Amino acid sequence: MFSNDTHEKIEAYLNDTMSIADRADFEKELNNNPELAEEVEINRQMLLNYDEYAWGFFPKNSRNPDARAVENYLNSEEARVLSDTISLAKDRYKAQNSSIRRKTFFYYAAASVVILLLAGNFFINVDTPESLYNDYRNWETLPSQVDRGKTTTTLSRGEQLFKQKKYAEAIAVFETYREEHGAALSPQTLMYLGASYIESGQYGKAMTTFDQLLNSNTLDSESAYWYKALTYLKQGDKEKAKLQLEFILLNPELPYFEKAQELMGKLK
Amino acid sequence: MNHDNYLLECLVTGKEEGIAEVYRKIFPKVAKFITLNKGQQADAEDIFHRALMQLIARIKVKKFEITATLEAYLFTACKNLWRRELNKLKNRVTKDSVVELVNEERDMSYAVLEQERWELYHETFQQMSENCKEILSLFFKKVSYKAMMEKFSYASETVVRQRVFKCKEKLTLLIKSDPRYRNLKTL
Repeated sequence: MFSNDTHEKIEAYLNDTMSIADRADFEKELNNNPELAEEVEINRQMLLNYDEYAWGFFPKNSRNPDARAVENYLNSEEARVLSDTISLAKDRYKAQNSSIRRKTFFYYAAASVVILLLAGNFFINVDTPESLYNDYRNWETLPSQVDRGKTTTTLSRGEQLFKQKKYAEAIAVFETYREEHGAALSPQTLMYLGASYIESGQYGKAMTTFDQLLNSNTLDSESAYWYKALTYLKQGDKEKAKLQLEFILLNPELPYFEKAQELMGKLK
Repeated sequence: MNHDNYLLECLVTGKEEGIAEVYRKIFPKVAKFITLNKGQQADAEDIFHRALMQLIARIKVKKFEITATLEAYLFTACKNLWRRELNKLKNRVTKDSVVELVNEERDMSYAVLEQERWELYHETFQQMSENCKEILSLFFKKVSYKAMMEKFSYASETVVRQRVFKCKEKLTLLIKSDPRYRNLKTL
């Protein structure tokens, strides 16, 4: 309908980027071309109505018949009565609202007292280091042992024994394997071995095993901090457990970071 | 929807209990919006009252029917009335020409027209193709032609300009052919 050139002029005019001379010319054109003037007005309204912050006002001297009719209605008796009723309704709402708020406040206050009393009893027996150990030991998630793609039957057997809670036998299997093969145990095996030591109460040997894990220079080595923390917890040593957790908390990329945060929170 | 009709009935017939329910359900959202946007609680109450009167006037005088939910309509109407207020203050401060202080009823009658025009522009916008809606949304958010060119992988800024102009023409046509357009012309 209008050329691209005209559209560009309209845009420049409404954006106020036209030179004064061009502006004067354009406005002359608008005076002589009602179709163009209408196009400009619609574009102007678009800018006002599609803008989140602007508003398109009607000129105050507008003699719009619809506006007159609305104004007359608003001046009528009926409208004034309705307006008063709305004010009364608002007052009623505010009164109801404040009484609800007061009641709600008291309910919450009462509820929190009850909760505190219950919680007091509940928390006395929980969160000892030993109970935390029980909560956080995650032996089910120990990775199954894969020795470079082939699962050695011996190690699988050790894993089985561990899962059956036959810790002494599991230890025997793993230690024998280590002696026979002379090589260092894989990180996964070290985890099972260390866990077996903890569960059978041999904390010193557990620590040594986890230190071997730490020094294994594998992707899993840093999980040793977690297991050492668990070992300390089982022995009731909160402070030493926290120290281990601190290592993990130094680096959000480490495994068990979130668990360490959680546990640390409970140990404080 | 049925309950909305009941509440509208209460509004136009002046049933206090029903109107109080409208306050209970919808006012908090409005108050939150206004107080987060430079307004006070008192402003929110004032705007809400005006929106209700405006709605009643539209129903009684112009046989207006809400197409959305009552909550959606009132919330939009209140947002617009508040935006209008903020712009009124701005005009008073920045413009040289005196903004005539008109009485409240006359001012509200203009507000009705302006709301109707806002609805016309927004409803016709939705009738465009997805592509036009996307382009023009960015245009009215004042995104540069260059950025639009990159986003839509158009060959040049000129191509973008042409798309914008074409879409604007379609929109203009939709607006002009809408039955509401004639009454809302200010020229």
